[in-house]
Amino acid sequence: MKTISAFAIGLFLSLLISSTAFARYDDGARYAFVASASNKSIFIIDLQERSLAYTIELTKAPSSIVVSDRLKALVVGHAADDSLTLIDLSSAELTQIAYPLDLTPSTIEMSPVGETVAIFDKEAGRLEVHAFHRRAVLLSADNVQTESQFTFSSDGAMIFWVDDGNGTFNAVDLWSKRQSVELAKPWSGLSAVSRSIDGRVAFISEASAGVVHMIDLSTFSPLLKVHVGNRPGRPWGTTDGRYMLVPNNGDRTLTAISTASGATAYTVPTVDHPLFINPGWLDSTAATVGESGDVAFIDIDDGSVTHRYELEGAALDGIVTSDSRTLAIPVPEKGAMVFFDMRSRTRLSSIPGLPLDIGPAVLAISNNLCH
Amino acid sequence: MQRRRNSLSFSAGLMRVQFILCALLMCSTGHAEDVVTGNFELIDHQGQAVTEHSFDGKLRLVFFGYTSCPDVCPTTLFEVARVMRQLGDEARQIQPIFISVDPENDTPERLASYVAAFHPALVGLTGTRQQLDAVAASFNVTYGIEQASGSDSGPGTVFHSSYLFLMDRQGAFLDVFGYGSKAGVIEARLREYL
Repeated sequence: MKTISAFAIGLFLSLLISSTAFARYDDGARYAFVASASNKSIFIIDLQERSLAYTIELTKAPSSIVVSDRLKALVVGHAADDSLTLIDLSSAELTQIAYPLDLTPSTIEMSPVGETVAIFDKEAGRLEVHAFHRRAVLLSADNVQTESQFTFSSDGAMIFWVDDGNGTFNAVDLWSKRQSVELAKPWSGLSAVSRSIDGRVAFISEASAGVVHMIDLSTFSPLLKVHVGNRPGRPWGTTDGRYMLVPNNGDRTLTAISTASGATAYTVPTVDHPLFINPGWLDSTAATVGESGDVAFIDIDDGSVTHRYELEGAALDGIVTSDSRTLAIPVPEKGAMVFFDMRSRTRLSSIPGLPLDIGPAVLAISNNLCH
Repeated sequence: MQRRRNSLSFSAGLMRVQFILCALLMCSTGHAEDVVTGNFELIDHQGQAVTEHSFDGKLRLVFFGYTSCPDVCPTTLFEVARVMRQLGDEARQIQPIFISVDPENDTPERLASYVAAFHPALVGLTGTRQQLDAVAASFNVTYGIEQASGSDSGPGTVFHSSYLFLMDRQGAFLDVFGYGSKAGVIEARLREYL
């Protein structure tokens, strides 16, 4: 009897161990990822259980990460030696593949279709777009000053960037031609570019003038110049496409622009130095998170601030789950991931015990729109 | 309550109309707790007129899409079909519904053959643009036609929200699942209401 019990326990344990070893983390709706340079690790956060699911050990310090649901891969940038590591999230071993670069990956951004990646070298002001499946560089561009100054088109076939030094908005079809639109005098402060969710209109912030330029992406012609607050940053689109939400870094406000009319719906006070804006709960609410860790929830339709919170330290870019209900914000000072319920706008439990240098959170599926 | 257009025009007249529509939209939209009312008047894949009350007595799983969708729609409907199979006899209490936002191409006949490929209980619905605008507003989802970039753009491709809604036996909102939610997660939530 004792032998059978020992056998049964051994079998159970071996099944448990093997199931853990063969856990896969390619469920784009369930897992978020944060990197720690000091630990040379990627932490996989289970958004369903709100727990730390697994830690991927790396041989080099990560400086940035993105994830592709289509490739089932995590792309890790290493600024120290100008390289990437591609991690196969669908493999049992989480296979790592080295990918050398000719520039420093200060920032990497995955295209919406998840097959190409924009790599930005901040010191050199250089932007490259790589297609992993071809191991090819599709685009190289210079004179890009910040990571807020470029974005992909909604189908991933084009990349847009603003060149503040020349005062231009540029668009390149990754497979053929280039368009350029003069927007402002050189060094006027073209600070950021975004596009509408439907891909038809680009929104470019001109920080020094307090305006957002709207460009028709089918004709590459200027549509409107919308006056917003002081020193506008990167506009964020609601996923229902109705509004572009513009954080005004100079006066702690947020301006909502109607994408249909170009009219300003409202400008409301929010948080100090807005870091990012996360629309959620079926686009009824938006969380604005400031650098210092203050969080304000806004009713998107009328701009009223309904709830305010203060995190225990500075915040980094967070994510909203694909069902639009849960907001997760990394707080490096506390080594924690903090969660909020977007529907009730209430704070949930946190995951403590993460390293004190965790980076922004990334998610494979964060856009609730099918193209 | 039109929230999307196939092409943007910024002529003064149209801007004025759009502004008024937006103002009406803002006035008529409620707060977070009631953003999904779930009302609709559409036709099913057999050409019959239906409303949300046509399925009273059953829990509903409602998804928006179009039959030519290459990835999000078939993968989501595959998960819905898997949920139905896993529920066994209890699946009789569930009505899965697929609402096509591409009525120009998704005729009832085409919808019929499409939904049958996933599960016999799956119902395909569609309607006029006006009806679809109303149901989209009712579920707080978006859809439209995205024009290809460039001056020689073609007919464009359909885009739509990729939420899967769980509605109660009278058609009221219960829960929402994001794209990529697995059958096990959906099934577990459904079982709370069986």
